[in-house]
Amino acid sequence: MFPIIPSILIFGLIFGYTGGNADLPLLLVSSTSFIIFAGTAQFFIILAIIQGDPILTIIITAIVINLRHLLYGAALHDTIKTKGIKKILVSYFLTDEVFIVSAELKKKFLAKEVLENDIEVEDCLIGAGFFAWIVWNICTIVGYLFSDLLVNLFTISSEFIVAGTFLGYLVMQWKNFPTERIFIVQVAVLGFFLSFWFQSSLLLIGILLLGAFIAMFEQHRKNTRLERMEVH
Amino acid sequence: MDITELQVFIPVFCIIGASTFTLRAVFLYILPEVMDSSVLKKGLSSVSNSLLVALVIPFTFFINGIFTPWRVEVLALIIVVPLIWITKKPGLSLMIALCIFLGLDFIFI
Repeated sequence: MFPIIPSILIFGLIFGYTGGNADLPLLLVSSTSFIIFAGTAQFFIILAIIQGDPILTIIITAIVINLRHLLYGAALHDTIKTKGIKKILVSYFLTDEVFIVSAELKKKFLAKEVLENDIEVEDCLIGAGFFAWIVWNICTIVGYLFSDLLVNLFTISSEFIVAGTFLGYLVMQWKNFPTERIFIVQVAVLGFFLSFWFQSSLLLIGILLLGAFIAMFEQHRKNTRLERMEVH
Repeated sequence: MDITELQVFIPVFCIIGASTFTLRAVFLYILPEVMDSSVLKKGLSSVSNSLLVALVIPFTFFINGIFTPWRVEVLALIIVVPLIWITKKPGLSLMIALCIFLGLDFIFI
């Protein structure tokens, strides 16, 4: 989880700074962090409030932005077997960053690298999510309170911070899973061209859905080929 | 913003928070139960790789949807790739990229 923290820390500060800079009340800015806890949606909500958008628009758009969670949840479903309160906590804490950590853990579990330690994926997910929640909330408040001092910190673009945080994981996926390379190239090319027309959450959802369709199409082709071989 | 407006927004946040939570829970626990197909499972297992690509490619070459590849930041990110490959420390990529960026920024600008 620690490698993901710089991204959460910087975006928490930027989020708090955005609210503070627009002179919104601290309670309003920080309540989005501890109630909603979904970074991209929170950014949209605060910007929409600043622009004076209607409440219904804010609610509907925030829900649409969060639709990407359906793919995260479905992707982790096979790994998470928990019940009761843990089930609720996992649902609340499943953010973009926590999903990346969980997906990495899932792969290690499948490779049986961490079975000896007797750790469950859901426990790691809750721990990572809780830690992310604490850091995100503290940074929101710090960013808000020190918004005047933080102006100089944000000369480095937020795009660079995001790409820098996740580039290492993409490189390691490429290195460790040669069978996934064609898929990564296909999605990267598609993502590159989609970036000319779409932005932020719409782009993210578009790439996730197209990636899923490509993978499903490849699997379907593979299944058909196997069936034909069996017939022959 | 007065206290009345604030009182309006807190329930709005609760509605959004509850819907976000419900979306996560439904797709984490309920929907996959009814999906039992190798094709669908393959599609869902691709999400983590797609997410990484979606967070790296557009954010490296685009700023606010405009293609801007000729920047020191892009050069720093390209230099990071072989370093991560050799060190096998993906979590340090941002720190290494920041150090390279600050170095290049100091040399060229």
